[in-house]
Amino acid sequence: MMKNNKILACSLILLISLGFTITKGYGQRVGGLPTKSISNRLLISNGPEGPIKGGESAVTDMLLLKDGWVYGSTKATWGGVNCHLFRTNSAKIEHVLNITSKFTQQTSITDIAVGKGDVLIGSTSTSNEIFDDKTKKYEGGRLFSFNPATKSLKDFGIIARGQGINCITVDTVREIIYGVTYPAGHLFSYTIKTKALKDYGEIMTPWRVKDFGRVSWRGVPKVLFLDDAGTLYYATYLREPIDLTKEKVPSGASTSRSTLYGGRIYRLVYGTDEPVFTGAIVPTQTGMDSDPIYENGIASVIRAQDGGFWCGTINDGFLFKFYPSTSTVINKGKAFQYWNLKSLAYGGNNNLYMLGGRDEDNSWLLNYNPMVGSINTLGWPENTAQVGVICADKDGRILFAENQRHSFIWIYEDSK
Amino acid sequence: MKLKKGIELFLLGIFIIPITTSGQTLDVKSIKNIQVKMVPVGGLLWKDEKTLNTNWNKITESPDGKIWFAGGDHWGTDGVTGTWEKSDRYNRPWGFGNTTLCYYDPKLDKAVVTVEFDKASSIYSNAETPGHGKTHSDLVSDSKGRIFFAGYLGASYNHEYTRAFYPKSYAGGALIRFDPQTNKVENFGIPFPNGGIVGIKYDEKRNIVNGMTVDRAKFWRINLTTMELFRYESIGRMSRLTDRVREMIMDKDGYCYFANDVGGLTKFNPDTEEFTDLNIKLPGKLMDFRSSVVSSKNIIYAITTDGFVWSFDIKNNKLEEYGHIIGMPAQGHYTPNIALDEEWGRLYFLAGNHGGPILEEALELVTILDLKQKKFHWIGKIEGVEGCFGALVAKDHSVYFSSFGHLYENNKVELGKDGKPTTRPYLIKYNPPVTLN
Repeated sequence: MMKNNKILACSLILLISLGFTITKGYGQRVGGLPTKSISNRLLISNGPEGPIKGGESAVTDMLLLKDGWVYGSTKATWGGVNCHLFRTNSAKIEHVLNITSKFTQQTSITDIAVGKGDVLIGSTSTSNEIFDDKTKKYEGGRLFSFNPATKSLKDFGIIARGQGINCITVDTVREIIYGVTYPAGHLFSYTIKTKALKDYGEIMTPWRVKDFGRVSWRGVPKVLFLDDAGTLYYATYLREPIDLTKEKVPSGASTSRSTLYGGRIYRLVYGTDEPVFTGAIVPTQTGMDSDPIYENGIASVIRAQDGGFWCGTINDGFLFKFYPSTSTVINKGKAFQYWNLKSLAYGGNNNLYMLGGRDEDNSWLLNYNPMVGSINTLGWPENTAQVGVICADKDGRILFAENQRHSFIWIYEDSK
Repeated sequence: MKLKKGIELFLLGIFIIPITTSGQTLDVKSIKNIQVKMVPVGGLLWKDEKTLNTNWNKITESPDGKIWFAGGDHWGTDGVTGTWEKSDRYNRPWGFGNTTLCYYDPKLDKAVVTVEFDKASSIYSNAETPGHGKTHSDLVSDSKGRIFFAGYLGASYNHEYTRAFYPKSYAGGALIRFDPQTNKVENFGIPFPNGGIVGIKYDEKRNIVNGMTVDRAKFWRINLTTMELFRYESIGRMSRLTDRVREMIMDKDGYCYFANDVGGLTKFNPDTEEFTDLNIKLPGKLMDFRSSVVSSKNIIYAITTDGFVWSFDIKNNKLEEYGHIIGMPAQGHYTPNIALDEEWGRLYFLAGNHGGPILEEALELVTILDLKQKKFHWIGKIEGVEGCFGALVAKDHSVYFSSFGHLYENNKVELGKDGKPTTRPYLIKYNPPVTLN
């Protein structure tokens, strides 16, 4: 009997020590977030049998709806075929809809926003390889709405033939969707009730770049944002009309010129046709890019509690606040040496969380404490993480979502 | 009482079931010591004493039958080992970290030092920009006998995230080709700045080198005809691993394979640049491959980080499991090397430290898997070995292991100036029995 007890005790100790060894093995290296602060890790990809297969789980955006779920969108990458909507409650991930199965040529949900009635408004696009191949006939990016409560999908149609949609924002009062086409860089609006589509013209001349064998277009605005009056804002470079008395404009040439500096914040007042320069300039460390036109823009925006907007810049990764009523810009600076402050979210502790790093590479979580005014570098969840977007869940936890072939979401809790 | 009985049965099940799965279990008491030939890596002497101390690379056989191997000296960056003073690393011509490429000629029973990595890649190794303290990737011979190799430095990943001057600014693993016929060295550059390289595979048909970085498991390719560099995402990662990914596979047709986050393999098509997940589940808890070899019939043979051996027939999409390397599935047993003798139908392994859990009593164990009988043969322990990361079977059926540890020559262990056994990189030559009991 005694002997049996000893065996039992020894076995239990062995099991516990095995468990301890496994747990201990998950220690982080330099730059890692404290292990305890990551309360969960969820794999979005379902593997070869789907519904979200490998190459279809790169997350493009996430937002929290009133039903308590965080909804996310994906794009197809590197041989992937479909793009999807999914949702998570930070405990599990549920597949919501295969958008490509509804709109066959659309392989990327580029942006999602909240529409009237707590519905999702989304925009679609395809890959750069398609845009770069003149033999490929792409129908053009679509706008759609999806109501999670009724699971109904509405197709608002194609915005511009052969052009994808880079980003959108929604005036929920007037039910107007604003967006920017890709790669042409045209600003447009779509009124849901009347189906009226308006093209405001090119707001940023895209720059085709081939790097490491892949083509992309730089300069197309990444975000649009609206104030309470329904005025739209975005960053681009300043265009000035050419003075025809001094210069002769060749036939077919542009009748405007740029200032050769980017990062100018524009506004489009509701009811007007012409976006105008606000006088506000995105904070920029000049001379850091090969082309000053493209050297800065706004990568991320979130409403501040005082009526302003917190913005993150692309090149330098500055955090600044923009007050639309006065066109004031207050630069809060940056943490560490990270650039491209590409995603912002409020945590449950009212800290502003930020994601900094290259688009398709490792990213760091940072935060800004508005009471103290300090920017802190927190770290990354795992050494191979390639996070593209963050979002807060209903409990104020920060969700990191990857843009990889098999993407994870990590749940971060600062209090731990 | 019933509860206690239940717990006992449960515990018994946990320990017994895995053992019986493979049908074979190593009896550690029966392990004997075996004697093998050790050929030390040469070069990099300082004050008449060897400085080389590490080896994490694979090895290759060139068409003329020479075995190419390498060894590194990274004590300048990782610390000061042996009898050196800290100031020595500033005084040495190669400063902080360097590696030599050697070959062993079995016909002459002679080893020759050919190239120093730092010189070959024009790195002026110093405290600010340390050199290639080791190579962690494949050594690859093309059909003309030219050798490809790439650089690495331990802890390079600490600053790969930040590109900061912390702790050192390793320039990154350079890709180099050495032609022993002409002694010509070609430096193809650094595919990922600041990042060490852990895998290179040469696709001779397309004249493309495929490779992977250590930290982010970033897949890259260089087209040597056009000198174009292509970078892909962290496709090579296996997030179940707590350590870094160090492996990728290329088959005979130039398709590459990576263990993925859903426990299977992701296949890369070199012509369309598309990735596809194969609908298979790899064995073990980690469901990965720590070492692999591809047969002439395009069958992948591999061992997982926790010691499960498997094969995958690409043509027939068939996965076959051979069980755990020591028949103890619950006991990880780090064996990061594999060598295939197609004619004799065998796989060879040498268990090593430094990378995963290991059964201490079975460290340095040489294992043969008879593929025809599907039976493991535990041959014995090679005294002195700490780690082994590359292995191959030569045309004459000799087995070579690329290792480091205490060096035994003529049954005597090499001692340093302080009279203590030193850690050295070396090539092991093992002559296997023609028949297995």
